[in-house]
Amino acid sequence: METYFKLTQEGMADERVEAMYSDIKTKFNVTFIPDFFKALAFHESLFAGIWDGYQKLLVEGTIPKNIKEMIFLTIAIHKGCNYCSSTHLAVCNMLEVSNDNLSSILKNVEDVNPRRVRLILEFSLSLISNPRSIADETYDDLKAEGITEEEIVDIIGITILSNTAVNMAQSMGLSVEEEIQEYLDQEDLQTGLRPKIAA
Amino acid sequence: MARIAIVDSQKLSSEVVNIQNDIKELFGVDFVPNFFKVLSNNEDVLSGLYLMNKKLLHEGKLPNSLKEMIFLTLALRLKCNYCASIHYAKLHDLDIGEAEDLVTDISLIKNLLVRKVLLFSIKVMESPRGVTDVDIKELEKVGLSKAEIIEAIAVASFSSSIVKTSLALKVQTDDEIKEYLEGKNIELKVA
Repeated sequence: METYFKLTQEGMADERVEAMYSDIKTKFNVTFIPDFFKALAFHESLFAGIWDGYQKLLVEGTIPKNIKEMIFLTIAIHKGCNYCSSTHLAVCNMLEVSNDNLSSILKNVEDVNPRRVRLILEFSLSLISNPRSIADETYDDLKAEGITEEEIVDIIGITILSNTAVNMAQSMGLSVEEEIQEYLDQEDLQTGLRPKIAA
Repeated sequence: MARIAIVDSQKLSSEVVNIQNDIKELFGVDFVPNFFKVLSNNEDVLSGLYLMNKKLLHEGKLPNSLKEMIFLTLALRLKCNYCASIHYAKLHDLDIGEAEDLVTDISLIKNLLVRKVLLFSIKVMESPRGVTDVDIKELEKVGLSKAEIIEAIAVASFSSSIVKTSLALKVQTDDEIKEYLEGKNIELKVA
């Protein structure tokens, strides 16, 4: 069993979902629909709400796309989601995040460079793992790096989306897609996480 | 005082004002909650979280009152006074008597379906890797469809992410909510 929920394959969904499938392939520049979306397709309003979130919080916004993908990967690794980590590791690599930074995100975010990016990733991680620990100084440090309040809210938006999606993917018990696994093997990348075995 | 400045309402773009009006309509209130005022620093984020809020928490198959109870359960679990106050006020306004049991102890809730969904939501938030097909089957046994279960997963995942953010931003309880709770003589003990 791939997941507790039935995956709706392309060509099998109703018209409005097929239109969103097509939109996903265009905006993510991929040739296949990730299983995460296929698992939501039988519930159209939920699918639409999640896809709206992806477009406004991940695709659009003021923070560069590669930093948003690094945030997604950081949260996926922290939560131990092999499915999400594999996908976002592949995307980060495609967006030319350096091997050193990828390796730091997988092992220890404190080693990420430059400092500006490290502070952003640490802030996102604190938001979901220990939100009360965030002090006024955390915001001051971000602002001292030239990050505006508009950008901080953008970081908050992508963090909320990432945490929501990772939590959902873990609860649904998704397995890494073949396309992603083949890409990671070919690029000699691995998450180092155990896959969740769907009982 | 929130950590991120609230934009002076005179300086908001007309696009942001429109989304704020949609938010008031969606929640059925005449004020913009402080959480959304903070998000108003970024139009895309305000719009994205408004749309997710609308489609995940106000549309779909599960009753709104049950979604509010999931939000309140997770807000209490994370000890977020801001979120708990708003969602308790909402449930009180909807006249959902179970909200009181929920605040005291979830196991007091007599409705088996409601109780199971709330306990499941806590599991989704705290150990999503631990969710198995046994949990899914348990919910099906009390009458939930697969679509309702996936919705519960989404509501719990999204709500908990919002609660954590509110804690990080130290958002202050809205005066309107304080007045509502005081007017009804409700004292919510969160911490």
